[in-house]
Amino acid sequence: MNTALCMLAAANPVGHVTDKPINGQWYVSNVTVMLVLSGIATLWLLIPAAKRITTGKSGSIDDLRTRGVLANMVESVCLYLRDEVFRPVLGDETDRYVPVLWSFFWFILISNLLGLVPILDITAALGLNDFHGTPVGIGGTATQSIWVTGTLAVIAFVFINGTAIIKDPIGFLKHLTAGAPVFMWPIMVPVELIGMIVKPVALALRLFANMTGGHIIVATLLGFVVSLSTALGGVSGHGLAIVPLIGTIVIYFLEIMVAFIQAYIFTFLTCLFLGQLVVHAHDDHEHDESHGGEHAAAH
Amino acid sequence: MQAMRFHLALVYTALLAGPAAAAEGANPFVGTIYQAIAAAVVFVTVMVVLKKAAWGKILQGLQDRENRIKHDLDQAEASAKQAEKTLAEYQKLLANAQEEARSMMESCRADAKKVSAELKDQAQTEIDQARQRATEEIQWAKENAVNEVHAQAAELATNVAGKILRRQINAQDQQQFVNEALAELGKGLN
Repeated sequence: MNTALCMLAAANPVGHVTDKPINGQWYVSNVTVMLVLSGIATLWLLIPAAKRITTGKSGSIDDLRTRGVLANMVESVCLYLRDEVFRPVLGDETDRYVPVLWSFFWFILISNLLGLVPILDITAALGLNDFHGTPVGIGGTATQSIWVTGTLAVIAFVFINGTAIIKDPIGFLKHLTAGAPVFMWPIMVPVELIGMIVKPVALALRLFANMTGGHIIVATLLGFVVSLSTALGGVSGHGLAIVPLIGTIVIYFLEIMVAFIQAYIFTFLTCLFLGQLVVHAHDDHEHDESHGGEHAAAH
Repeated sequence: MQAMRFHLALVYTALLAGPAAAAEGANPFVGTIYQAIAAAVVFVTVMVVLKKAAWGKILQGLQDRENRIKHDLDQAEASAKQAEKTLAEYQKLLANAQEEARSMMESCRADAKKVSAELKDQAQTEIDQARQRATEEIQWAKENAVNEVHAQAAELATNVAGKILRRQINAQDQQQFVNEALAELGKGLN
């Protein structure tokens, strides 16, 4: 029974995705390490790609050619986001805001994808110890922490509302009334304010829940593999373990897709919220539609 | 024993996602403000560095390509329009040339008809003239022949008469006989 409990504790899938301090100090935890790694990976990917994407000055047709597979991939993604996702919302002002939106997308994507690399398990298997001699695994997913996704959402909130206020303070205040008659303002203004707060909360929770949920499912299925193999043993135990193993592989592929989708959704919704405030071509009808789109995306 | 182990495994797996999740230290919301500070510092740093080192270059590249493509498309459109215009001009020229050729052919055909008719008329005239000449020649030959017959007949009659009369007649008498004989012969023929 003791053995079983030990196994249960070791295979706790939620424990697999929770942040842990390294060396007993929270300022160096799995999440902070993965944040720094994600930042370095993002810069390492994009800066060399940018050098290959930018155009030369020689005047020949070769100046316009993007060189290298990686640079072409980065360019395709950036171009798609700019032309197909941001431009329909932001119109002529797209290029002004696109650097921030690209930053959100690439940083979140790389954080999500790095979380799928089992760095935690590899470092744990290597038997790394902290300064106190306690075994420690370093890794995980930066975006599976509500603190991280919350911070990203707060930055998005500041970016969206700060841009809107700087660009058109009166328009921003008018937006709070949603174009309603004055007697409706006592209702509309609080509703709009609540909506304003709910948007980043939704951004944070969506990303956090998706990344955490996916990793818990993977950890749970892997727990099934271990528990079935260990508890039953033999041909039957290992044979039955194949079923959750296949499930894990399938979910892993799904997680790769989710990593892209969540980065896309976070960026797209940030763009949409920004567009609602800074692009004043919207009339009330479009306003309603964009709220509809937001709800649809939330689902 | 084997069955008991199997049931035990099922219980373990069923329990994994349940109470264990609520166990101490397994709270997915766990963390401190340090993670938030780290996230803000890392993200803002990444964003600023990328803004300086990457986004400007990428945006420049995309805009240059976009402008070049737009320029090329504009140029292609202008070339297409020019080609269309030139084609229309050539088609107009071709149509004019065809019209001209057709009118030339019609004119030639009309000329040929005219010439043919003239030649035909000329030939007909010549034929008529030839026929006329032939008719006149025939008439003349006929008259000559008749005259010759008359002259021979007269001479023959004179000779016969001389023989009958057995006398010598002079030239004056002969002429007189001839004239008389011709007059009679003419009456007889008529």
